[in-house]
Amino acid sequence: MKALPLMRNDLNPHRLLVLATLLLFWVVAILCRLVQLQIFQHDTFLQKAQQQQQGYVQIAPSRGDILDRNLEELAVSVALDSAYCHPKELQDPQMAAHQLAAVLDLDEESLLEKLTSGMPFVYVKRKITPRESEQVRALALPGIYFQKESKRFYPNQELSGHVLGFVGMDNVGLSGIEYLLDKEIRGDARLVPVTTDAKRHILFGIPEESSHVGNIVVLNLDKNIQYVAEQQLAAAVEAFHAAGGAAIVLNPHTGEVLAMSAYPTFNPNQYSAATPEARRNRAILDTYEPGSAFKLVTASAALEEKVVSLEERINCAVGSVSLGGKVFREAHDSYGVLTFNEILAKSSNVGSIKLGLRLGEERFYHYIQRFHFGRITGVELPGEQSGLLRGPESWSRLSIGAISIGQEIGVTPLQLACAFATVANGGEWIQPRIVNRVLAPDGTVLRRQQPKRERVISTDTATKISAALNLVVEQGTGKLAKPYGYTAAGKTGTAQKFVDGVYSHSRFVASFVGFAPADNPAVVTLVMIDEPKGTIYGGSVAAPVFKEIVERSLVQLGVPREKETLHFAKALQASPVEENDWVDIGQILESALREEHGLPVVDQKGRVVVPLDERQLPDFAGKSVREVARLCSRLGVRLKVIGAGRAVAQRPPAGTAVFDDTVCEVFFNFDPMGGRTSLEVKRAAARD
Amino acid sequence: MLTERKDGEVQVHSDVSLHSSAFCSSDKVLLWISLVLSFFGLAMVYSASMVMARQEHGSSFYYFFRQAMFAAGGIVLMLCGMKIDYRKLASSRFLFLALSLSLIALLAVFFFPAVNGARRWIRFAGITLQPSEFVKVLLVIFVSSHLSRRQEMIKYWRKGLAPCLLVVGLFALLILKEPDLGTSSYVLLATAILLFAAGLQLRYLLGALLVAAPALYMLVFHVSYRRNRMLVFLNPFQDPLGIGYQIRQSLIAVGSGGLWGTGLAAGKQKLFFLPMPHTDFIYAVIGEELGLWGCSLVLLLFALFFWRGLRIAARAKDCFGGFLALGLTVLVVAQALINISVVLSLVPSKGLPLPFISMGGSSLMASFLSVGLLLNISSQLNDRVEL
Repeated sequence: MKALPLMRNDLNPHRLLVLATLLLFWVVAILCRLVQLQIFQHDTFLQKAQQQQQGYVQIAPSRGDILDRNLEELAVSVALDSAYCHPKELQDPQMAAHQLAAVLDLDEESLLEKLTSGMPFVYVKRKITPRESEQVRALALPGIYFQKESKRFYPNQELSGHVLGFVGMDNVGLSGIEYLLDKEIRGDARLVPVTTDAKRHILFGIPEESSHVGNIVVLNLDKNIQYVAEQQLAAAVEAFHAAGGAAIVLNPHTGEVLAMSAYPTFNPNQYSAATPEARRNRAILDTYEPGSAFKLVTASAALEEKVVSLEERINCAVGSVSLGGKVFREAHDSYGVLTFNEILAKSSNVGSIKLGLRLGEERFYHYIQRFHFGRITGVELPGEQSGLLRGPESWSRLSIGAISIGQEIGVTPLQLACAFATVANGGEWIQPRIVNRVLAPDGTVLRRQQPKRERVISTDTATKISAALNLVVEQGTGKLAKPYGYTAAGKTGTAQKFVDGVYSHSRFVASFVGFAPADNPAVVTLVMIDEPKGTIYGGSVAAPVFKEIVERSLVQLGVPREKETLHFAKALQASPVEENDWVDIGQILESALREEHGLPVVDQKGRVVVPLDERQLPDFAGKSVREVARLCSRLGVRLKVIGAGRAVAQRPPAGTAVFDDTVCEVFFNFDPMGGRTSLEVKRAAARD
Repeated sequence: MLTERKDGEVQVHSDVSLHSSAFCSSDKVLLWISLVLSFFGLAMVYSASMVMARQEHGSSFYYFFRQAMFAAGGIVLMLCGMKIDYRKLASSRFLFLALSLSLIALLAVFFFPAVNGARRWIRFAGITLQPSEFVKVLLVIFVSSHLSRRQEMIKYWRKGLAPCLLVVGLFALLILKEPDLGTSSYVLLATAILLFAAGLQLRYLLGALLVAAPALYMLVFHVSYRRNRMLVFLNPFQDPLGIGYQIRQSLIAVGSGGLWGTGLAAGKQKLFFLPMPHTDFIYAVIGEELGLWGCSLVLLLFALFFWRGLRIAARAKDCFGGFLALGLTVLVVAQALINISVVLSLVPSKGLPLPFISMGGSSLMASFLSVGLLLNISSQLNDRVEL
């Protein structure tokens, strides 16, 4: 290339001007465009921008707490990480599956299958522990993300698990209070506006205040009483190798359920590990024959209908009887003549059947219904059983007798506890309530349910029944139920289980239901033990449990201990009472029926038993101490023996009408200490 | 002060005073415009890329640091451009060497893996360079040199125009093969502007246009993605999630910015709605975050750049300096205006970055090199010439 001299700068000025003008036009055109877009069409574009940038996420609400009556936490929600994956973003699914499976304790193959299934979104593992979450984060795998999810946690583990129920993985209540009040506890899922990018990832997180909490449920349960009930029940069930059991503590005046426990228990934190049997809330799901405990209903109805008076003496002595070609035999010694109180105290089947017969089918059925048997109590728990109660039209001739002593009728523990609460509070059936109130997350009360009340028996009747039930504990079949420092009233029950069409002689339900203190009850407590082995009687299996629960409940509730005083007549001689509150119903009933129809009743040896309708003191003259004692015992008279040998005198004299509190002094001819009683002799000896 | 050597090259006497005064007398306004634009660009690159960088590279500063590094390199290049007398660039020895190297670089591009279907980059030691960005500057130097030598000859096809167009056409063809129609046609456009300024008869330019038009038509409408871009330009909102997505998102970004914008770094369109927010569509991010005032400011800076560049071109001491100044100015400003026009959907989509602002090391360094040369020319102005 030949070199040329460097030219002077002679750029064409016109053309430069043309260029400059063109460029200026261009710049102006751009400015106009900017004004058009950013001023005049600003609103349109802003709307379009927000449309695409604004995303909504459904925030799963966090379940509201469940608290006990003292606002102690029974169920709470904790926020846990859930690890999820956008498989497309994974670089090495095989490696990722391997690492994740190791950290999260998952099956590697099934995880790999999930990750390579082609789904755009898969959960790796939901609700992992903070530690697991930390470990997964440390792996720093691409495509693995975390989401906060709320998990239900029951800090007291098994405690009140049957009442609380449990929730599934998706925070939906599956049983108990969690299920029944699910809508209120769960709260509403909320659509929260969030900023998303074009891949629909949420940026800048979800605003903290948008996490929504469900309503708080305050239960009537008392955590401490519940604990005692569960502990005592479990101990008893295990001690007697029983199949299970239930215990309920109620406030008879308000219907508040202070404790409701069932055994076996389960831990709602690991509900899937529990058997369906363990998850059963026996307190409302078990229907069983209450046995003698049901005599409360019979007695209350009879007293309310005035078919019996407290003073009346009822002949409860029956023997074997031949009826319709069939011979019925009495298995036990008969009690002879009993007062109304004694029928309950000694749990006399014959007496109860007689009361039932006096009421008649219709009236008796009416009262059973008014005590809310045969229908649900309406307590706030799902699946409550209504028990089994047939109408009188489908009763057999024996049914009225059977029901009088608690057979041929199925009740739930809660129904029976409520029946006792009716007596305890002065005659009003009151609906049991688990839930005290529902609170909004900010603490305002949303709902406070008023209990339903229905008068069943008069206060007078209730007081009289209470007195009789007090005797059961003081002197009758339920002596082991007496709490230390408190009076109590209650009734034992030992029912044969109806297995394969016949009453089993080996499988029983032992129960004790009662209330304390007897004159002003603070708690009604029911203890039911299913199939105890060895000892089977309610008075020996369930009564001690009752005692423990009641004692501690009353202390927990702040009820002061009383001096040991008997509030009711010390009418009965404290003779030990045989436990015979399970009997062959047919035999007793036939005897009772014969007597009601004026047929002669025979004793074991076939002799006609003379009914002692009037209780008069016989003439003891010439009888031995043993004979006198037997007669007095039969009359229910307390005997004061003075001297020994043969009776020579008595006070009051023969023919005097006697009552429960009568004390009869009988003087015997042989007096070695010169007219002093043997007791006085001993005291004198001690002084010397 | 100028002497002519036998080989025809112009040599400036090695004069200490000249060198020391080179910086002082150079165009400070242009220098500041460039620095402001590049620092502003750094901020915008960070804003536009931080979310993407964090997701892709784990650090929101990933692109920012890279761009800052290139900016530093660019400033060094600019200083070099200021130090070495621009007249040395007109020598055929330099041009032959540089053009040969460029040819090799443009061929070497085809041996590197494609990115998004294009082979425009050379990679070594973790640095990615786009030779075509530097080739643009080199071709402007070549054309300026050619014109300054044979200014009278450009009226004649064989001796004046043909050799120039042959070289430019060869490089344009290579760039087109990458494929990079944007840069390729942009090289031709810059050449045409220089020829126009040199006083080429308009019939040549119109003739060239007549020849180029069918070729351009073929290139646009027979390559599907270019055809789509064209169709999208004609009707951007018809197919919002398909091929019109990019331009639609760009308009939404600019339009939603309004007068004042959402504030620096507060834009949301860069959250993967707007494709390439830190490179070709960074002006849309500016529009969203800084609104009309930010957009106008950028536009004003480029207009000022053009004014200062034109002023240097008009006052350049010699013909080569004049052409070179004009060419380099046009290279920067026209590209900026094309980029902005694409973002605002005033012209069909082209893959051209916004000089000084868009993420891209080669583009930034080439721009700084251009500014260095412009400053070099400006330090030796002929004061008598006024524009």
